This record gives sequence, structure tokens and C-alpha cells, in this order.
Amino acid sequence: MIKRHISVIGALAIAALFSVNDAKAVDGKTYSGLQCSRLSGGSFSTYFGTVTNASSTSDMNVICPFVHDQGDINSASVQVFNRNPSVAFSCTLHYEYASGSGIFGSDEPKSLSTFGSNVQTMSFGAQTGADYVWAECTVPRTSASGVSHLVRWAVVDS
Amino acid sequence: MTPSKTMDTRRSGSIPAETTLDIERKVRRRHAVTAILGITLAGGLVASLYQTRRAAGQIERATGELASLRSGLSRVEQESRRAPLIVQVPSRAPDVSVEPTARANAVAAPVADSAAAPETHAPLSNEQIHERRRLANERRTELCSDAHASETRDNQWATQAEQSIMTAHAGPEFQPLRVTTDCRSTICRIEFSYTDPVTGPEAARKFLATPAWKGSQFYYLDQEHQKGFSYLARESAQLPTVDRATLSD
Repeated sequence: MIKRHISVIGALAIAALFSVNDAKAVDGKTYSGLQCSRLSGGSFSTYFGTVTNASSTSDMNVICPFVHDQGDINSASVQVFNRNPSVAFSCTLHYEYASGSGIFGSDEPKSLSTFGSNVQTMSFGAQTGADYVWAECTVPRTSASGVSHLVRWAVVDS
Repeated sequence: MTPSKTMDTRRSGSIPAETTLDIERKVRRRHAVTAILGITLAGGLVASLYQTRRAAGQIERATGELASLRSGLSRVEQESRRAPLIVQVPSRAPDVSVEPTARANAVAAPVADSAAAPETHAPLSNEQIHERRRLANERRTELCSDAHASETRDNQWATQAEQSIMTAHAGPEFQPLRVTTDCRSTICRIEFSYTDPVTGPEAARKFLATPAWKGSQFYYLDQEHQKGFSYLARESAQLPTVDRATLSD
């Protein structure tokens, strides 16, 4: 019994040691759309953990913080339900890096041209050199086809 | 019959043979139980001693490993303290009139040295992360500059794009800015400067936050020298990005 406990503890210790030593380990995080705040337009509403635009006349711009660790962002994504056939659900991923009196910045826009009942993903590439990262998205107005949602966003960093 | 016999026995004072045997059996049983208890206790003591010694050995080994880890950590801390001394030589605010290619190359080696040291994948210090990000952005500036320079001018698109940029930033909020554009086939390079230290920075920030169209953008704002640049890609085109593997060369 004792031997078995010692073996289990040993295995856990070795696993912990490997995970600590491997600083380049890939780390993924997923956050609810509720992290996003309304910037302008539309009517901010929530549906469970997602953000929706309850307005049928105005598109809503939201801003979402993209949390990442000290390492680089390998990839990022935003998952949405795009239910408006005439307005694109779009997001731009921004990053900035400030050094002294200088500021570097980057914008990477993505847009969904298709709509439907299924969840869709906007994928962004690596953000090498990023310090703080955020996305600005346009959630289309409600249409006869339904309500558009910003479901969640995710980053994979290392 | 039996009761009278018992009475007789008591009277005579002798113990019957059966009773003597019972007593002997009981005594033997007690001895056996005592022996088993003794053996069990002794075994427990031996096992406990063994475990204690083993634990002591493990603690000793763990202490050794801890000492080794501490010395490794101290080495990493020393390296991270040394790193900024090496990389702070070049100016931190690049002159935007010249692409920071040379600076990126100049700092590449020392940063790579300090970052590559940990073959053990020791975590980077905050200073190393900061330098790595600065290097990445300077490299991207270089990549965008090269990509823009290598393009030939698509007159139709370039003229239209330059006009869009000027029109989009014709409002009074952009008045403090002096803007020049150079569009090619998929990338525009936009340079701007200002002289008013109060309204200029705000106008520059707004300018960068509202590109003329939704395209991939990379920019640098030098607040000290009151100027900056932006590379704006044609819609559906992409600006070059930095391969992170090249940062540890």
C-alpha cells in the first residue's frame, strides 16, 4: 500500500517536474463572450455565456480583451453565430507593444461572409511581439434569420 | 450423583486432572498470544525504522536537488540581470526615418545569447521578454519595408488607395498631422508627423485607430520625435509576420 502511494507521488512529482521545466509548453485558454464590452451601436444583451445584439436596426461594436501569458500568442480565434445574411460578422485582432516613447501596433481583420445556424470560427495567426492584445468585433443586428452571438474567444500561447 | 462427587472433591482439597490441563492450556495460549504480539510489535518497529531511514534518504536527496535548483535559479537571475546591460546600448526609440533593420540586427546576437542560454527551457525574465518583443516588432518593420519596396506600383489601385487615405483623414481631428502616402500593388506606406505636442499625439492615435479600410495594418508611433509610419495592406492581402523561430538565432 505504502509502496503504491510512493509510486503515485513519484509519478506526480516527475510529471510536475517535466511541466515546470518545459517552458515552451503550449497553453490554451478559452473565455466566454461575456468578457466583451459594448463600444458603440446595437443593444447589448446576453444569452447564457454569450453576447448578443438585441437590436434589429443597429450593428453593435464590442471590444474584448485577449488574455495571454508571458510567451507569444501562437494562434487566436473567435467563435460566433452569424445569423444576419446581409451584415458581415467581423473582428479585428489588435496588439500593441510600447517601448520608451515608441508604440508598435498591429491590426489583423477577419470577416465572415456566410451566415447560418451553426457556430463559425474566425482564426488569427501568431501575434509575435504582442504585449497587450484585444479584439474589436461587429455583432450584426438581429434579422429574420435569428440573433447573432459572440460565443467565445480563445488563445493558444507558449 | 455428580453433585455429591463435587462436594467430596472440595472437601479433600485435591485438584482434578482435567482442571490442571485446562489451566496449562490457558497459560500456553497466553504465552502464544504474547509471543505473537511481541513479534508484531517488533516487526512494526523494524518497518517503521526502515521507513524513517528511507524517508530520511529521500529528504536528503530532495535537499540536494533543491540546492541544485537554487543554484540554477541564481544563475538564471544573474543572466537576466546581465541581459539589459547588453541590449540597452542601442536607442530604444527607433528613428522612423530609417527602417530599424540595422538596430534589429545589432541587438539580435546579444538577445539570442541571453535567451538561448537556457537549454533547460528556463523561463525568460521580464527584461528578456521585453527585448524579444521589441526585436520582433523591429523585424516586422524590416519585413514590411522590404515587402513594400519590392512591389511595383499598380497605378489604378494605388491612386485610388492614396485618395481613400487622404479622404478618410481629411477631418479637423487630423488637422495637426502632415501625411504622405506611397501605395504599390498590395501595400501602402503612410508616414505622418506633427509639431503640436498637445493635439498631435491624439490626432496620430486616432489616425492609426481608424485606417482608411479594414486591412492588415502594422504601425509605429514615435512620440518623442513626433512622427510615425504605418503599413496598410490591400483588403484580403496580408502583411508579412515574424517567424518566432528566427528570434532566437
